[in-house]
Amino acid sequence: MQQQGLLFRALILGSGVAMLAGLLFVVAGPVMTRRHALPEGNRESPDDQRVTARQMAQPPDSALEEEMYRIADKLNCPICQGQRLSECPIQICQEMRAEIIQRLREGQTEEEIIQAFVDRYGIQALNQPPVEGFNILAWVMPFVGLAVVLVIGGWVLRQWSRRRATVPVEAGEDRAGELPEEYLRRLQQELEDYS
Amino acid sequence: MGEVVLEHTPTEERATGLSRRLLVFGGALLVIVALLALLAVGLRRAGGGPELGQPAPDFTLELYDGGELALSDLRGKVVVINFWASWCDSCRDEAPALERMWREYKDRGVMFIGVDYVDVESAARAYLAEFDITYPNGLDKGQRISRAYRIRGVPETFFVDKEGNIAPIVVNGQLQTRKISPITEAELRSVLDRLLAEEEGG
Repeated sequence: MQQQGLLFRALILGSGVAMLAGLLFVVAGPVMTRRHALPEGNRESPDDQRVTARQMAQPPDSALEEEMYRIADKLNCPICQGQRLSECPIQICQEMRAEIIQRLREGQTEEEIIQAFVDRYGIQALNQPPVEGFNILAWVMPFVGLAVVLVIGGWVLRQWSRRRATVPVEAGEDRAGELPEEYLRRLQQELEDYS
Repeated sequence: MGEVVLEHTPTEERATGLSRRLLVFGGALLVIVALLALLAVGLRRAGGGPELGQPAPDFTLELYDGGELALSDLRGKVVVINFWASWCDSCRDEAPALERMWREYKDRGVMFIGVDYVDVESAARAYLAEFDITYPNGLDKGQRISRAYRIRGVPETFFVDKEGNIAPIVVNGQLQTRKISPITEAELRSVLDRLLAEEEGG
């Protein structure tokens, strides 16, 4: 009886937590994956080459190229889904990387280059949402979700353990004097209830 | 085992425990419903893009040839909005037809606008030169226009009537808000002739 009740509660808590986690994912998901919000099904899917650009390219032989790849790592291919600009093999991305090198040669800073890409291709150009405005949600929600689950879980666990608090009484020994009046009254009442 | 276990659940407390549990579950349910409502609102707002007979989302395009072009300034003209990109192979199939039709219709109250979706400027300019495209083109900065029109990809073509509303194109016998995939001369001609024949305000 006791076992069954426990199992039942565990099931409820488990499904509750799962639902909460699912909902958080659904609500926060679009924020976190905004970079995927590209028109679906581009009839052009030019990523037929499986080799990444980094593998195809010669090992970066200059500091400039190194710097370019570092910046391109923070950017997305704006056409493909969730592929970093640094690893995207398609033509347009090669040209975008060339443009980064060009901008570096002109003396632009990393921030300026990234901002230029965001201006032109939208926020999807970033592979991490910036920590500002509405996007903060994407960074905060997972922790909020975790905190909520922990608080609720902890509260439920405390409820259970409180409910199951027991007072052992050794048989044959009269320890009535040590028990509070309240317990004795309840014991009496419940014995009557069950008999 | 010779132990008497006292459960700390007297009946009267059980009752208040139950109502409290109800309260907690009710609250949780309320939160869940609220989140779902938020989701529904978000999905609805995302929508499916412009609809037939509804005003075409306005935009201002920074042109590759300098200057700007605002859709709202073209009221009274029939407008063809073509989304393309230099990296898009099937855009190349339609580019000659678009330019030919532009040259044929440009003096008859028709405007063509090329909206370049996610492109590198040098590649885009090379593409425009390759097909000798003379109607105004510009990069869709920040993908704002593509998003407002909910394009599915490139190429994609919309028609705007003289009053600034989205006009239909017949594709496979059905009225559509857009032509997905390369547009043909015949299709351009049939839509443009129909829209030009329409009386403004009628």
